Amino acid sequence: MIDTPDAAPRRPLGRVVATERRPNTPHEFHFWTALDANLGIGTIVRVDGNIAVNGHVPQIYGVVMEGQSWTDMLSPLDDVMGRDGQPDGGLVATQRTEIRLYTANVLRHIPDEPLQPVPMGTVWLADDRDIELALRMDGYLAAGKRTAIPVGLYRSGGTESPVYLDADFLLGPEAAHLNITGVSGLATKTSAVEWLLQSIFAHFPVEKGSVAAVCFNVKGPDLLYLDQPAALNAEDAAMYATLGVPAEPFQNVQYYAPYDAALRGLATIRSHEALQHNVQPLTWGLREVLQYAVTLLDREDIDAKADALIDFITDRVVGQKFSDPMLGGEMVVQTFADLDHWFRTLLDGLERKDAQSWRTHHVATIRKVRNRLVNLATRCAGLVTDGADVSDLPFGTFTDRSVHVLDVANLEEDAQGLIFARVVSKLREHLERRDLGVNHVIVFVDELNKYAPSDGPETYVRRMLLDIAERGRYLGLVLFSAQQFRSQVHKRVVGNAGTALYGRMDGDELATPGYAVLSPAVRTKLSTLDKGQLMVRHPHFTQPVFVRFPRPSVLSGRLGVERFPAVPVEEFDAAMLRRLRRLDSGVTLDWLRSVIALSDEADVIRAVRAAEREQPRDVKSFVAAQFRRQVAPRELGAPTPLVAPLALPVSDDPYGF
Amino acid sequence: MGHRRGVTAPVVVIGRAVDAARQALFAAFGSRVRSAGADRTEALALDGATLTTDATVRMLGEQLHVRDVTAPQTATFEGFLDGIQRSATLAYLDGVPLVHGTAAAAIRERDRAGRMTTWRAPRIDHAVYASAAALGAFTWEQVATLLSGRGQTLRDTDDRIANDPRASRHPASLARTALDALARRRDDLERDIGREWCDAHASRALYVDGSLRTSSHMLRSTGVVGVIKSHARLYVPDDQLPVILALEAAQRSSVIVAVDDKQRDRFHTWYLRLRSAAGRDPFFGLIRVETGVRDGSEHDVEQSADRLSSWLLAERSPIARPDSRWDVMPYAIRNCEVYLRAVA
Repeated sequence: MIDTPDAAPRRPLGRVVATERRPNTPHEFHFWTALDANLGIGTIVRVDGNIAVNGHVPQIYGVVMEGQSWTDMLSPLDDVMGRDGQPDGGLVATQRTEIRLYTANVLRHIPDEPLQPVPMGTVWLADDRDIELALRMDGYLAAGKRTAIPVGLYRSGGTESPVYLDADFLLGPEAAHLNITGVSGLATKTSAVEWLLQSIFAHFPVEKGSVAAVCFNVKGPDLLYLDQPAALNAEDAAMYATLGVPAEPFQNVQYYAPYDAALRGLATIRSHEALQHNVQPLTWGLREVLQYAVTLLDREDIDAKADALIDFITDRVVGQKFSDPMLGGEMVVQTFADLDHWFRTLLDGLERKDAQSWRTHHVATIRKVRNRLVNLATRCAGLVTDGADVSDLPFGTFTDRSVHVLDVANLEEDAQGLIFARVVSKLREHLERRDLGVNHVIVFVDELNKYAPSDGPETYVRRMLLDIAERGRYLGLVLFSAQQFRSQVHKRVVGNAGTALYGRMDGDELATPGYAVLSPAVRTKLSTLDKGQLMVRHPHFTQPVFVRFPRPSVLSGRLGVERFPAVPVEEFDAAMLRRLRRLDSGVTLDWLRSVIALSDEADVIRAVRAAEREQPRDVKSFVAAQFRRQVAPRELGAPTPLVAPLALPVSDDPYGF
Repeated sequence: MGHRRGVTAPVVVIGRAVDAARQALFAAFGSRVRSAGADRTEALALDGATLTTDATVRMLGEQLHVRDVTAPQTATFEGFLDGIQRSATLAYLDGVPLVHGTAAAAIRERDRAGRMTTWRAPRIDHAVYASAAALGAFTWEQVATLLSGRGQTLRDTDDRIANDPRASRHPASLARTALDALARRRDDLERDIGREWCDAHASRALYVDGSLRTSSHMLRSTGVVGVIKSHARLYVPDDQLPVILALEAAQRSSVIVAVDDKQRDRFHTWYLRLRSAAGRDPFFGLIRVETGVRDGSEHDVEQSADRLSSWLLAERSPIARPDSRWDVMPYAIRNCEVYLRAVA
């Protein structure tokens, strides 16, 4: 080591103190500092003991959780008297002796054994190496077994050190899942998840396999511009550099959205023409929906009998040849339209024969199930098609470091539930079979207060979230979830999250019993956190740690909407034209109108969807071919009278013909 | 309960009678009356201290008079010197007390922001005090050797037994001589560190808690002021005493030139009332100030005393509670005491 004479020698930050009334323990100690000491709640410190135990001088790491100060003033009246009753009055010659006494919770003892009360000793501000040791990060930062994922920068007292999460405890298999909580707007929940996904994509070890993310955009435009760069300031850029994460947007993002109810366009704010290259429809047919129809059906409405009929239809009718005397022959049900036809034929047959039941199913049950199932296409119009065209996530061909965003913000709650249930189930199925295309999938869901509340009726979505939380880590299915009020989310969902992040918190929320383990000072800090600051709990950290993370390097929702305004609601022809122009910019409105002039809207939509699905090289020919069975339009000549007039009209006869 | 009621009632009656009498006195004599009660004056009377007015004193003017002191705008003192002593009787050997004593002195330095730090190292002395004459030479050597092996010094109380066969060998009397020796040791430490300050900072004002008379060095130094909080010895003739006791807050007496019997150095002294004594005992807020004799006219001396008194008034805040002497003790001196108690 080279001595640098100009460098000021490091000075201790404080000294450990203990009294009978305020003793130190193996998990907590007290120390005082100079009045101008640069530390605060959340600062990590090191205590150097004075006496060797078993040949080792103990070192203890702690994080400041509480601070107190007082003077030797006996009573507030003393100050009143000293200033003659005037707050700004009188000369006060000497500053009273004042103490800054801090209480720190122990992060780590070195050596670990024997575990003893924290000894008297000098207190030092932790440096980079101390931070690694204090947070037990040394185990997963070591060369050859590095599984560290940067979560942010610890900053205090001039120290700026990266803090890492352990990938084995973030994405499994040791522990998994992440939950983030905080008030809306200030807690930077979405920003934190965006940042963390970038960090995971940059640092997840290759030998641990591949990873992708599936994000449900449940509100606003927050997640709709992940592929667009943000303008970062110098401080953020420096943080990216320090943490070793490229300050760039996600490279491989795909967006999915159902159609709007009028089927004129996708139900997403990301409708600007310049952003359509990676936006695709999310549409499912009967086969895709029926398996998860239970998510859309009211459990109190659908009884065991109806359930049995639905199961029968799913297993025996849909997607295969089905024949029955009551149907008068063989039928193939592929679409909701087919299903409706199947029901009508069946009910007609029952009426003709005046039968009250069919294959043990009562006619009333059949009518009820028909009503509910056929109605699904209407309730989830835009997502559920009554045709056979399906546009789905690339299950089986997921690519490493890809992000798939499902924009469900503009959908009704039951449609959101259907999408969530089916997507998660499909992910799970594929991960179980190891044929999804990646080894790990991070599922991000916001608004857990809505989807997995601690009370309220049992819902399919909540059951799914519980299933991921409790069993997902064995499959590589990882839940990143967020909400405003952690106390109001199902305990098993948040309890199974190995890592928890806390942004700025609401005072009422902090007053709930779940936060009683935090000191009043930490709770105060949580209620005043700046944007970009988080408190982190992680299995390796024995105490919460405060970090700061950079602004995400992707365009924020607000700026995205300003820069890429959504296309306004259009006339039908214009909406279809826009969809076709994504495939072929040479398509014109005149041409389209000439092709679809005699077709109804449903046929046109079907043709456009087919083009979107097939993406033909010659779009015009492909689309035109969808209408060829119809009579081509032709010009009508002047009508030829069938019968010649009896006489020419007399022009000057007012009564003439 | 009934018995208690019977006890309480007369006290109330007596209390009312005292209040009534006090009010009558105030009405008749005005500010010449100071309240009586469990106060400092009474404490002086009770503790058996020698109360004298025998110092050889001379008024600088024809007679003692009262001067108003201007309220200060800034604090001037930069150093505060104080000492402490602490004792505990280890044992009685053949009836001779072995008193363990700690004496310490320090100067606390105050920066421009009013923050206190310790100037150089404090002087701390630990020793065991005993009468060598009472123990006898052989036993003294034995005790000295034994204590030396445990890092302790045995110090002779230098009592009068050896020279005066009539001197008392009463253990209490011997203990008192031990405590006197400890006090002298404390004076020595204070004198040493005060001298060191004067040598280092001739122009920086030093507040000394106590008399300067034991240090001719400090008496000669222009920036040093000694402040005496107790008034067992009065430096005014009896007929001038009412002038002192009637001082109002921020008033001082004129300067008195004094020399005591044991000291060849003359010194200037005056009384200063720091706080109003209305409703308090006569000595409340009253200090006596000592400085070395300054050359110059009577006017110059009084001007100098005015300036120094103004510096002292600046030390009234913050107040030094919970110390019982808070009315006459500046907070900085309490700070010095607390520091010494912590380190010595």
